Amino acid sequence: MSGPGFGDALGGDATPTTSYVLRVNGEARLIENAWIGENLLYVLRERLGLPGAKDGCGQGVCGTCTVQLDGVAVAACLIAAATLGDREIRTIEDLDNDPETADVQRALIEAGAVQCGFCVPGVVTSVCALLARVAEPSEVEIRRALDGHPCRCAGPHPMVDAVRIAARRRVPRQTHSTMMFNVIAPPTSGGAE
Amino acid sequence: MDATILMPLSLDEAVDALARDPRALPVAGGTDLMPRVNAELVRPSALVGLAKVADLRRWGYEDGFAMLGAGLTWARLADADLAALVPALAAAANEVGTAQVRAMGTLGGNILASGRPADSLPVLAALEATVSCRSPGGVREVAPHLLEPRSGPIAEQLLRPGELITGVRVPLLRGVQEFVKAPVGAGRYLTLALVAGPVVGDVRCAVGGAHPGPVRAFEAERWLAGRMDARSGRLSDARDAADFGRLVADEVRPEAEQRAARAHLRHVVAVCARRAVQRAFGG
Repeated sequence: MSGPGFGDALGGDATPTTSYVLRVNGEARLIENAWIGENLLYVLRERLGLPGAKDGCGQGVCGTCTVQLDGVAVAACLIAAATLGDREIRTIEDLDNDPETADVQRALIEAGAVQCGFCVPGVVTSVCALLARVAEPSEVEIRRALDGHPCRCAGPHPMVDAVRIAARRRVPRQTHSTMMFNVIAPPTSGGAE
Repeated sequence: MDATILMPLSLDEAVDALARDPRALPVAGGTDLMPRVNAELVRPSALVGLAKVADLRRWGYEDGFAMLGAGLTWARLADADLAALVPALAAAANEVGTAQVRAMGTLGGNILASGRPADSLPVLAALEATVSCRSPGGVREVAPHLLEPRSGPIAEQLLRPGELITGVRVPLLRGVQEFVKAPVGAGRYLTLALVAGPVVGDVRCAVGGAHPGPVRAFEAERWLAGRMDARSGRLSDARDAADFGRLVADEVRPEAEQRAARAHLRHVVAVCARRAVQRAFGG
């Protein structure tokens, strides 16, 4: 699959270029003299040295290029990087610093959802976005959030199991007594005066 | 400031930018443009990014109508508040692409999407909504159901050069709204939107993906309206749904190169119409 770097290779007519700033993983990164049609995936991989998101189909079907844009999972290959403005991009390289991400990765392995592994960085990115939005997603929510990750090795079901495992570990199970305690004496109410 | 990328902050700036450079392409989500750019089918000479135009993402009411900004994403249209206003559009939104595409793809972009329009346009045609097309000269309201769906690309009939779709104006209707989508091979889909108000005795049905534009089945609509019991809102006969399906298929006549494919598409249209009626009226 060719990236959009063909701009230089084609030559001939003048290639319209531009320079802009991208907010990636909490840093402002300057992109200089880049072809305006470059997709975000190409910019991340080839210009910023972030190869975590993978180049699969270039058509927004395979989900391997998934990154988070303002906390939402999106297909980086479908985004014109130069038109993003000041929106915040987060890639798997930065997500990897969160302890929650390790839980998701472990759950995917335990559920048998990791086989060839090519789609997994995208899956982890989507699952992290989902669990940040919904602490305990229903099966329908999980399947809808992962419908852009057609894993042909393990199939979709182990992925769904993994999300359930990760969600269960992340949310401390409220017992009856802790719930009652919160009602009677909310932990934020402070001590005696 | 170089002119190859423009990031307007308002609708006026956006339409001015498009008017100044007729070759500039507006980009909102990018989910329709970028696959063609990645496949080297399109080489934009300039882009007008719409990410900072907040007015495109607004929505609200205006005497009996919902005004939906063209920059609303599919994910937003599927949210509970907008789904309660325009259920058929939310149902269509839920069936679009993948989660990643729904998060970026916008209503306005879908109206102009390449290929046979099958998602938003049949819904807008069935609801008799209008599309707001803005240029520096002012705003023009176009009704997709009044265009000629069989005569050529619907986007060209809808939008004049230099215009930007800023939103749609959807009448808030009582009654049920259904949307049925069926894959028919090679990435092609047939869709059908049905709006039926048993109380008012009104039926509207539009088919997408069969022709370059959404096709209304006016005669079949009148027939089904005649079969509705005005008081109970039920159909006279359990076989009405299947009969309606056949009538819609006869009227719409989906186009395909081969005779066998045409027959198949006709069958799919009939099944979609029957299912929509069964969901709307039960049975």
